[in-house]
This record gives sequence, structure tokens and C-alpha cells, in this order.
Amino acid sequence: MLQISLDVHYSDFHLSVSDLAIQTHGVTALFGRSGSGKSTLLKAIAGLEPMAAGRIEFNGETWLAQSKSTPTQQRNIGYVFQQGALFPTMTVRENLAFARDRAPKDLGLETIAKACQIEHRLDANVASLSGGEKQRAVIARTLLSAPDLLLLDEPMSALDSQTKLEILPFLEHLKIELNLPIILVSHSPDEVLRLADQVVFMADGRVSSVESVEHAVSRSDSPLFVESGPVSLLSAVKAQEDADDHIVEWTIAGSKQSLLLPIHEDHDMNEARLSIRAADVSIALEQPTRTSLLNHLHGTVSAIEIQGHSALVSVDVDGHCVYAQITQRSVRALGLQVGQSVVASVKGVSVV
Amino acid sequence: MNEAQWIIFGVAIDPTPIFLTFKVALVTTIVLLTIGIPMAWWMARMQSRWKVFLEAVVALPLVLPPTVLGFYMLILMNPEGSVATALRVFGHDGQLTFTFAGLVVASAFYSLPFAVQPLMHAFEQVPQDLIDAAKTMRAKTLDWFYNIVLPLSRRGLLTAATLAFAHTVGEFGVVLMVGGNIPGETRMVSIAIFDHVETLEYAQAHVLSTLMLIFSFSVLFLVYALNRRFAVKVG
Repeated sequence: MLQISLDVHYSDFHLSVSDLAIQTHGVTALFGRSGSGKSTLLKAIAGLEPMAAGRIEFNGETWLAQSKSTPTQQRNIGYVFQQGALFPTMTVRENLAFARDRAPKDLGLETIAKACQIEHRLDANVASLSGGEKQRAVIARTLLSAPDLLLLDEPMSALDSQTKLEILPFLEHLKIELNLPIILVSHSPDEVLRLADQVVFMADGRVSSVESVEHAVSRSDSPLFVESGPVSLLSAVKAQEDADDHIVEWTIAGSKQSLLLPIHEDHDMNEARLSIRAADVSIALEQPTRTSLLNHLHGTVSAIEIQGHSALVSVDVDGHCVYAQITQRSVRALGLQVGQSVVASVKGVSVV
Repeated sequence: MNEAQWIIFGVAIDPTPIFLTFKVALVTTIVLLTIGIPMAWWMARMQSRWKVFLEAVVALPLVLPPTVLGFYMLILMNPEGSVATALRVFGHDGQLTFTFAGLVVASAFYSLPFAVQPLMHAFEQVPQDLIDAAKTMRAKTLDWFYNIVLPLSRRGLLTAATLAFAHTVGEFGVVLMVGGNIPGETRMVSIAIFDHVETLEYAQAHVLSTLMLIFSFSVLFLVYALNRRFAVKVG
């Protein structure tokens, strides 16, 4: 557990965090607008914020007590800076070696470079790297320093959208393979949705709430989904592919039910998160026949939340929550009640 | 006149002022880099309002008449003064005026801005992210300073060293006040030229002046050429 009570005072900015607890497994996103204090908080965790005062404890180790601070060098953290911060006077190999030579254990420069798909550019000058290569080199360098906690400060903000698409799956692999706690600063809902397990929402130098990502996306007023409305997230395992119909069957984790999706070209993973917008889900009392919709999930109503003229219905599908945004009139017409068995028909589902 | 004379452009020249000048300049440059690097780093990263004050103090020798600086140096170096007393505690005879050590001390003050300003400018350009990145990889202060900051600041280092050296070679007023004109001991090239002109030895004055001109131009040319060559791209 990473426990934080912190004050950072500047004449024009004030960050105040009390009793924030961040789990030290999986990915935690610090989400907020620019100026909300998320980068300052990350810097304070790293020991790179000179004005930090308060208390920070990482798995029982005290990193900050009032203004007495454990030096960054002794915190065993890895930090990926927004602009990368590769050393421009060195080659990629020298950059990686810089980290390896100071790490408590040697993870193998070539091995890590290969895993980060940068081994073909090891002897290149930093200035000659493309945006994506730079970021992969930075991540390789960070991993080689054998950290206990990985801090990512908007790792993709400097990349164009094409390169982002290339780095995102890479970060996903990293998350699955490393089993290293990661704290990610982001202002992109996409990134949070794909990578995070837990979200710390920040605004005006304060933490407004800490939620699991599944819960965070489902709130109708979620800061993550100002435009698209609530979203359900389901983890799923690839079951089988039908190349003729160009369709993949994904089985929902911990359930026998499955969803059919078009084959996704650049997704070769066997596990994924599926996202379903609440507005794309309709409710029926029994399995509809003679419909073009392929995906129907059986479950029971666990909550009905009235929001203006519409209602957000939560359907429990074998332990997963699927949200349906329907009209109040439909709620009345179907006589929906908590505990009732229903079928959620899904119009649109995508792999995030 | 000395027995070992150089014949340059058909004119007999006593080379001792040339050797002395280079020796003073070399030692001064080493002293200035040793003091100037930590000082410039400290000033470059300074946030307090004292920074402006310090910058002005360091820049003083640029505008003060060398005689003013030389005058205060003379007073400071007074053999009965507190500096001399302090030096005697450390086993030094306390004699700075009219000695090599005195020349170096005075030159170091006189050339201070030429070393500190380029260094400070270079250090200010070093992105904090790179230093922070090195720290997260467990690099301690001297480690990141030596391996990250100095290579990134090589232009500034080079400029500081060459300008400090060249400016020391070219000084006159301060060394005359502090060192006087003792042949073989404190007579530097600029003073030798003054001497030759005083005694109407225009040929010798010409030769030494030409040498100074060629040297100064070459140094500046080198600085500007290397500055282009060693440009470091950050980002």
C-alpha cells in the first residue's frame, strides 16, 4: 500500500492530499485536467518535489515524514517523464547501461531491449529516434533500473495518435507481464480505460475520489465520460475465431456467457477488456428472437437509478455489472424491479 | 636582456614574459574552473532574490576600471593585513603583492565573469527532467553532475576555459597594480609591450603586439567554431 498525506505550497498553486491510499498492485491512474496537481503528486511520490511536506509510506517504508525526505535514489522507483528524458549525449545503449549499472540487479540489457522492441536501435543516437522508439527506449531504461514501483507521467502525451496506438498495446503487455505496481498520470479517458484498475480523480489540487475503473466508468456523472455517458467494462478471454464470418467469440471472465465481436486486426491478445456504452444496451424480459442483434446477456437487475428523463439500469451478469441507459417509460412498461431476471441486448461492444 | 632570446621577424625578443603570461593564464583558468563550476551551478539553480545581487557582483570586473580592482587587491594583499595574517597561519609567508600567487589571485577575480557567465548560462539550459531521471536511476549528486550535466554543458565549459585563459593573457591594469613589473617574475606580455613603447623600442612592441593579436583572434575563432561543432540537441 502507498499511503499519502501531503501538502505542496507554491504562491500560485496548492496541492493538498489527505489519507490517500493507493494499492500497490495493478495500475492506478491519476486523472484530472492540467493544473489539477496530478503531476505534482507523482513528483512528490518520486521525491522530486522540493516543496513536499507531509507523510508518504510505501509498503511500510517511510519516504517522507514532515519535510524529512528519503532521497529519490533510495526509493527504488522507475519514472517515465512526459518528454522521455533520454540523455541526449549518449546512445540508446549507453542510456540503458546508465540505468543497469546503478541497479541492484542486472536484468540483462539485451533481454529488456528485445522485450521493448528497441534492440535494433541500441547503437543509435537519441536524436535520430522516432517518437515511439524514444518512448520504448525510455521504458526499457526505466525497467533496467529494476524498480519496485513504476511511475508514468503522461507517457503518451508527446506522441501522435498513430504512435499512441502502437505504444498502448505495448504498455498493456507490460502491465500483464511485469506484475509491477504502476501509477499513471493521464488526462486521456482512453488510456485510463485501457490500462487502469483504479482511478484517483483530481481537481484543483485535491483528490476528489478514488474508485475502481469499473465503477468509475459506470457513473453517469463520471469525469471520464463527459461525452459518451456511462460505460460497462468486462474482462474477457478469447474463445474461438470464425474467420469466415470474421467474428471472434469472447467469453466473459468467470462466466459461461460470451459476446461476439468482429475480428480486430491489431489485437492479437487472448485477454482483453470489452467496453459497452450504456446507451447501446437495451433490456428485454426474455430472450428476443428474430433480431439482428447477436449479443444477449442474461442477468438480474441490481439497481435502477433515475436520471432526469432516463434511467440507468444495472444488470448483474454473473458478477459483472452491465449498464443500460433506457427511458423511464420503458422502465414502467416493463415493470422493472430490482432482483428481476432480464436479458440485456447489446448493440455495440468494442475491445478497448 | 636575457641570454636566451628569440628572434621573431628579425627582432630579438625576451621570451620570459610570454612564458610567464601563459603560466599565469593556465593556472588562473584551472583555479577559475575549480571555483567557477560549483559557483555557476549554485547560481544557475538558485531561486532566491539574492541571485540578481550575486550576478551583479560577478559581473563587476566587466565594467570596473582594472585600476580600481587592482587598488582594492593591493589593499587586501597588504602584508600587514588580515589576509596575510591568515595565510601565515597556514604556513605561507603572507607575501602576495609582486608575486606569482598574487598575480593568479588578482587574475582570477578579474576574469571571474568570463568563466562564470558562460558556465551559468550552460547550466541553466540543462533540463531538470534529465537530472531527475538520473536520480530515479540512483545516480548520486557527483555522479549525475559528472555524467549528465557536464557533457551537456561542454560548450559552456569550453567557452569558459578559453575566455578565462584569453582574458587573463590580455590583462594589464590589474597585473600592473598587483604584480608590478619585475622582469622574469611578474612582467607579463602586456606590461612588456608598455615597457618597450616607453623606451621607444617600437620593433619589439610591434612583434609582441602582433603575437597578441594573432593569439586573441585564434582563440575567439576557435571558440566560435567549436561552439557550432559541439552543439547539443536537447529534447
